[in-house]
Amino acid sequence: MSAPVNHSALTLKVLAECSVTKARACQLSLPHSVVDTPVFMPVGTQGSLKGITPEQLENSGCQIMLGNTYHLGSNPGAELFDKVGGLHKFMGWKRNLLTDSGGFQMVSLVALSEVTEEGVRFSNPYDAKDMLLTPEKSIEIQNSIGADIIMQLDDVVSSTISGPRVEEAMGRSIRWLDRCIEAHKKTKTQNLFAIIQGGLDSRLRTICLNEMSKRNVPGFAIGGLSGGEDKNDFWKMVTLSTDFLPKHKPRYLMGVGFPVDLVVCSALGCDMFDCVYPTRTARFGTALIPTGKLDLKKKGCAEDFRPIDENCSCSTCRQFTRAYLHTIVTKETVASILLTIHNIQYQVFFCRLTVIDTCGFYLFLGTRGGNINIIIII
Amino acid sequence: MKFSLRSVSQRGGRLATISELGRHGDKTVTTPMCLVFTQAGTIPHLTNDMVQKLGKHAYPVHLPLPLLLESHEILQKYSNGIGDFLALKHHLLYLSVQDSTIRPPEGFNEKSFVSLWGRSGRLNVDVDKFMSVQEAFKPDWYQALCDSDAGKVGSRKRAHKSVERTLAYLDRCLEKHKESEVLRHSCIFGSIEGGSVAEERELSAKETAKRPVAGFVLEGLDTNGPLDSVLPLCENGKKEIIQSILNELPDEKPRILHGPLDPANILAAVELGIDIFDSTYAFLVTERNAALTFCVSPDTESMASNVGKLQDSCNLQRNLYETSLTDKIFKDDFRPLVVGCQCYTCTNHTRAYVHHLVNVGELLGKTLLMLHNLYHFLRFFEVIQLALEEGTFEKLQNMIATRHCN
Repeated sequence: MSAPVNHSALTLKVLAECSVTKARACQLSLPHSVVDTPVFMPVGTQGSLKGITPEQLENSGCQIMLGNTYHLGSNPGAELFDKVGGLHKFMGWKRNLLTDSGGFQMVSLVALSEVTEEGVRFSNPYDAKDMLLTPEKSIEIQNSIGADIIMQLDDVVSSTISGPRVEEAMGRSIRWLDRCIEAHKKTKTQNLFAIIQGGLDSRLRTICLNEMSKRNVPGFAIGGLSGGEDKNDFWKMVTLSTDFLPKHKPRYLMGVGFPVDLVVCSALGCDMFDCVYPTRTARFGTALIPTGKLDLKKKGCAEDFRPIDENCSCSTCRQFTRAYLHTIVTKETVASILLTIHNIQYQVFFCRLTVIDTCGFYLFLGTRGGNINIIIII
Repeated sequence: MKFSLRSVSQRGGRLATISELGRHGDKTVTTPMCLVFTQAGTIPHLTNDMVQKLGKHAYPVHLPLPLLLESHEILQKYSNGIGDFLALKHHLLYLSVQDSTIRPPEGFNEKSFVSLWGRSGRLNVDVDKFMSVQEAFKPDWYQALCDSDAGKVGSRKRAHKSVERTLAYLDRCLEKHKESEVLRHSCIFGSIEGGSVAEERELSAKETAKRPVAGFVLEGLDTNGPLDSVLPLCENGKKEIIQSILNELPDEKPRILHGPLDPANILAAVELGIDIFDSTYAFLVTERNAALTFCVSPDTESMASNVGKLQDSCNLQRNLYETSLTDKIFKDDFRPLVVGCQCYTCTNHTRAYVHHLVNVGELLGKTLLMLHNLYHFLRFFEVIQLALEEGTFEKLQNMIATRHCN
């Protein structure tokens, strides 16, 4: 392996650690701004967060958000990003961005995709042309988009699959990681994260962890989970990974975003999370609250003159009642925007409140986490 | 409220100040002015913090009744009024009877009620219900219940009915208004009806002027949406009808004309003596993913004039007041929508970004367009006032006509 490179594009400072669980509060310094972890990252697929302006997003406390390489690579395309100088400039977002590799969307959204050692071959839905996404191509597009954190192209298989395909995908992901590292041109401004694969198999996960942590990447993601597998298997793979991964580098658990999962996985030592859930559910008229969910379409909200959450300081809760939101939810675009603002602020602060000092987190699990009965195997 | 006419120009355009407005009677606006149109109580695509960025000209808000009618009972229980409910209580709230972006179907009004189309269909509203709504909503201004269905063009009978019924509704509304403690600080506006029949129009204007109303709404002039169905005011004798109406109305009360009128029509109406309009034009332009780009001042460089040369090569039909952001030529155009425009959209974002957003169907595209279009449209009214003050109104009309009309 090559000699360790000084990755000045990221520093992680552990501020506090829970004495009971593996939870930790950190300060993650990225090129555009500092991020307090554990952090929830909302997903702005196509270079915008569903009606929210960058200013509103900043005000809701968000420090880092996601963009999807598959979508952005198609519209407006890498060439446009080269012209304008990256997605930050294009959308006017001053804080941090993270892009995925494009691989997951390819496999989940596009029919006729075929994975070979070369890359992922698919038929572009926009012009029906045959295209090949290689590790090199993915990094090239991500370099153009210019996010602070970029992801390796990995060979993703569903967590419900077992058999030799899982091992094949894990092995290939390691080889693709090396190709991504090789292809990455902007190490001073963009951090390339590795993605641990291996399905629900401890042996395979361990091999992957072993191999990938030998590569000197600034951070690691735990991938291939959150796809409908049994929760008991899910926790096991998460905790196995965090046991192994270096403490001084951030751990990003991909696709995890329900509040319960955020609490538990923070306890298991994860620092970063992303999920479409809060923004998607907002558009369907559901707000996130400490006791779970509030469906604003329900008749019960029609004469409820309280805000969504009396303890929430977001602009939606400061101005509007559930009764008002009930009159416009799913009918006026402003309703979607108001609920999205609330859900993002709620989720971001929920995550931040998992702060931790020696006993704080453990207590947190008991009170704000609601009724959770879980046994954590550490 | 207090309406003070500051000047009337030779050709009829009026400058005025309306003071002692609002709940505390401490706000002032100047006319000609534009009411900010809402849909179900929201300014389309804009949250309140975005509306703040439009500045003081976004003060008067237009609430069409149809989509709000279903909230009647809730507002009665809420008891703080609709301004509070919508978090718009620091704005002047004007409640109109119909929604000027659409043309309601003919033939559904009866002697004792008017039909309003809400989300779940037709609602019949009589004076009692109407006034009960006003008491629950507590607006600053409201248009009295009116029958604006004048039937087929030239039909005297139906036109007469619309005048008679509207006067009857108005008298009943005024009675109830007088008795109402809750509506003591609200102002009621009377509507002029009569279709295209000159005598009926005169009758309506004369009679309505006799009533103690705060101002007048000119209805039934076919100025409702959708966009492409609004004809120029100088066609079909409309200008003459408006003139004949205004001749009968007192000078010292404001006149409202609703509907998505384009800039040339606005200027024509101002010239005749209309004071207040609504922003439905800016809204409907937004809905077709276009930005308002007509020249509002010598300082701003109209986008339309920039791409003028490209228009022919793109071979696209284009209305010269607006420019469609779906056009691929904007893909890598990193200038603001209108160079020199000081709105939030133009100072923070580019044509390329807005083009991308509308291209992939992202909601933020509509938000940014609505914000710019409202800002641009409200700025137009600032410019109209300036032109009337400086005596350059005719020049403004000529500029709009030569640069932007087909």
